[in-house]
Amino acid sequence: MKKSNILLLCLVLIFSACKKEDEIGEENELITTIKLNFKNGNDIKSFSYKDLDGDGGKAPLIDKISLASNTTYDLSIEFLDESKSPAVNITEEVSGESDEHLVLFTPSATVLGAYSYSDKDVNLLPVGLIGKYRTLTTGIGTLKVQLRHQPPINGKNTKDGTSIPGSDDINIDFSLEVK
Amino acid sequence: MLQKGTSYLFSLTISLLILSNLSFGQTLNCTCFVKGKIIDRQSGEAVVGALVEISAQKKATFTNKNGEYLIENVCEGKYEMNIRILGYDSQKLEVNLVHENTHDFDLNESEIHLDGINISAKRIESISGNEKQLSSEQLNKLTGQNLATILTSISGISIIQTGSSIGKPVIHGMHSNRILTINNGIRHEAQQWGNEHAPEIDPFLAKQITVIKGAKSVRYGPEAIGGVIVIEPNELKHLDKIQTEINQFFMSNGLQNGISGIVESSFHKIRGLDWRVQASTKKGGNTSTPLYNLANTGSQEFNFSLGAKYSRKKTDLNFFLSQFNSKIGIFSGAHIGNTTDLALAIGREKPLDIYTPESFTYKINKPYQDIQHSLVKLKLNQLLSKNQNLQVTFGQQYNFRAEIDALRGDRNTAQVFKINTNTLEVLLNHKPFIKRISGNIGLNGLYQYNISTGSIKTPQKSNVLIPNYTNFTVGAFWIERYVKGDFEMEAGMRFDKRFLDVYYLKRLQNEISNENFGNQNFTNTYSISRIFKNRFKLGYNFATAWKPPVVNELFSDGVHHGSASYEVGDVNLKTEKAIENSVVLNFSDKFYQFEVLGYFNYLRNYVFLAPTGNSVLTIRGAFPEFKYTQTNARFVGFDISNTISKFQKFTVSNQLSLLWADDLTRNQPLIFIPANKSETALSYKFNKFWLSEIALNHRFVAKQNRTPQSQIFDTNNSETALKLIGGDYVATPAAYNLFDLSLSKNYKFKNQNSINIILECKNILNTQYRDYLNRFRYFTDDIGRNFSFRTNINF
Repeated sequence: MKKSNILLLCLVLIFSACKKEDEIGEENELITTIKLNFKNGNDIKSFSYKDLDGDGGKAPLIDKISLASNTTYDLSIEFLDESKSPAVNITEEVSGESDEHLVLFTPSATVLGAYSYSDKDVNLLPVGLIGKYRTLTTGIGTLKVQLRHQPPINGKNTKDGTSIPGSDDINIDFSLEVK
Repeated sequence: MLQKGTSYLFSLTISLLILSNLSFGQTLNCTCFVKGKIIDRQSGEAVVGALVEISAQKKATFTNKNGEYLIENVCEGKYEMNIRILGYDSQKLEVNLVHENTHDFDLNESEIHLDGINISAKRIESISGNEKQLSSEQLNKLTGQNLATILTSISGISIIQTGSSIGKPVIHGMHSNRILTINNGIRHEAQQWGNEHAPEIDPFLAKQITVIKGAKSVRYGPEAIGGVIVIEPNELKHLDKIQTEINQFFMSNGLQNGISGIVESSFHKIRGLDWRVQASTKKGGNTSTPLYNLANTGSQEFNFSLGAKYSRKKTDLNFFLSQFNSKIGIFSGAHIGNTTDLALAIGREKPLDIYTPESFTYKINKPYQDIQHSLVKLKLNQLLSKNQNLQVTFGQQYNFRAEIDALRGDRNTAQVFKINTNTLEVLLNHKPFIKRISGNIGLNGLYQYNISTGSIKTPQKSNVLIPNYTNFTVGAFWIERYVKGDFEMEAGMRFDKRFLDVYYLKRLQNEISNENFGNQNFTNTYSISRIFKNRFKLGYNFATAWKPPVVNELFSDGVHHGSASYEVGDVNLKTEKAIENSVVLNFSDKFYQFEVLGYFNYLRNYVFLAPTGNSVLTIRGAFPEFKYTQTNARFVGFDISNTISKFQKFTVSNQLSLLWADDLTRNQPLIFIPANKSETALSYKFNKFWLSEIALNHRFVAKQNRTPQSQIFDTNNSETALKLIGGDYVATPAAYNLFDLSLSKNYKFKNQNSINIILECKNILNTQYRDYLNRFRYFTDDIGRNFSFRTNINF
């Protein structure tokens, strides 16, 4: 190997010393707010979870859900990051990648009602941004709201319509009272 | 902050002249002799009383008052020669007493100069014997593995893992900010506090790794409580030709492969200018356990370094530049959103099928770690009058770390850490007093700033893992060593002061908060050692050490995603102080070597993370809260090694590492302490055979039965999806046994050219196991059988 070649190699090495920080923004995603909108005709009820300072700090404010018995509600859900102004609408991101997300609504007892999906992703699997919630008899319990993030792994889709793959981005128990 | 200085680098030049008498016929010639002289390169003085031994021939001698030695009547053959000098590294040297030309038997010309071998021995770091080394020969057998895995071949060293590609060394149960890494003479500074932050060092460049087990704060400053890892490339030397070394490896598990090239030589036009260029690259795909593959466990590395040395008369000027780049995939099945996810993962026999794909890929998806570490070093070594010597070392390091989560959308945002460190060391090695006392005085300075968001004094976000800060530390030390015959003694003291200024945003506030911390401490050390009857060595070491609270211990306030816990720091933490005692007894004979290192370390205000029993409600559900707290702790343990060798061919050795670590306030074991382990190796070296060496290795790691049971904090009980068992989510994993087999062949050519080929199989029996210190044990088994093929070429 000639000396000049080695010198050239050195120069190549120095210039290949890439600056990684240009490629990556310093930011972590945050969801501060969940809004549940129950609609039955003109009866519109909205309940929210708010934790504006993110994890820790002040405890989150969680509304109590109060619904009428034997009623079918149109249920839509919104996710927001209200720590920024203007607030970032994460619902759009979720619907834009609906084939990687699944929203689950699970009441603590079957008598408190059942959820049915009204939307589907490109693979015809449920998403859960809009759906119907049908209450049955009166009672008190909780409604668990989960947003499962199910991103593809090594280019293969993992979402299969069940809650099993992926991890929770949201997992909140709302108090639920059906009157 | 402190750099390993060449105060301990009193290099020795041992020039060897191997001469042999020639004889005629087939009978074994036993009239060869070896003679030479041993000089301390720095002082130029002869080294008196060094032991030179050819143990296979039961021949030994000491150097005379001129530093000369002569071993006569040695039979022809290949031998290992040991050179031992108090206060210096012991050296092993292979000598080949054969004539070059068997037809030439003119007795008058019988003294044929076979080779002039220069070896430089370094003065040992620790006289009490609590240091261990890995030579380049040993390192060649371990190429391709990460630094921490390489170190586990030393007794008393364990590893904290986050999957198979992220490993952090643990010395006598201590890790992270309780141990120091000195890379090429510079204190390695990165985000050491994180359990999933592996040292950003390219093991390919290391030609010698020294581990000091126990405190070494007087020399290296704060944080050297558990020990110090000193990593060094070969020293640059004058070469007439271009010398190249190529190391290559391939591993079957994860189809990992890598190559490293080192080219070095000297300029002919400029006298005294030597240089070295090195580059290495490594790539691995999804790894597999005995029963399944692991999705997204690939890793990539690209590293390079440039080094140059200019020596003129009494001045040596060193320049070194290196960059480390790595991208490490995090096992998809270990990505959890909350404790419910974790509880489900723990409850599964094996990870979900989607996390254990049949197909193989090198592709790394989110989540992954993206790391870069750059180092620039400048060092001046000036020989002053009267054998005094002054060293000035400046180091500049920049560490960039991005932890990219599995985020929505194609956005490329991450938790980012940027830390910039400048270090300066001035070291004076004074002239020996009364020929027996030598020592040095040193000054250290470190200035460091960490940026998580915005610029140093104007952070922009509150939800960061660690805040922006500046750290300014100064220290001064003085160490003296006394050597007389078989007796050695060392004493030293040091004073340090640290100023930590933290800038952060409190939640939902726009006003920047600033907090200042000042910590200072005095440390001292005292060691003695004595050799009895040339066979036994007894050493004792006493040392104090300290660690000011680390910024994450002070300011953590958020969910630690990998471990599904909410971690809270405490700004009122006090300085952690250690008092350490260790005794080393060493016996070495021709066929048998025995060494026991016993240590008793007491730590006041030992900082650790303990569950509070509360939980913090977040949008992802409730997380158990963990808080940094302090206690008085005791670390007691033994490293015991036994080696039996017969004619340097057949060797059986065993290393035992035992440790008991306790929380003295609550009278219970500390959490996350390595389990006891035993490592046995059988090896056979062949002479003139198609194989050079065969080795079988057995590793037994016991179950860690010592875990805390009682609560650390008074608690109001709360409900989470997981019950903590002594601060942990699951019981400790069972004990395991692993077997490795390796075959190697060395080819040596003229002009010191060589080829070394090693074939190895790790975990031959494909044993399924989980290790207590592997943080992914909640999710998956450890990796299974792994064949590797390594070559090392020097030309």
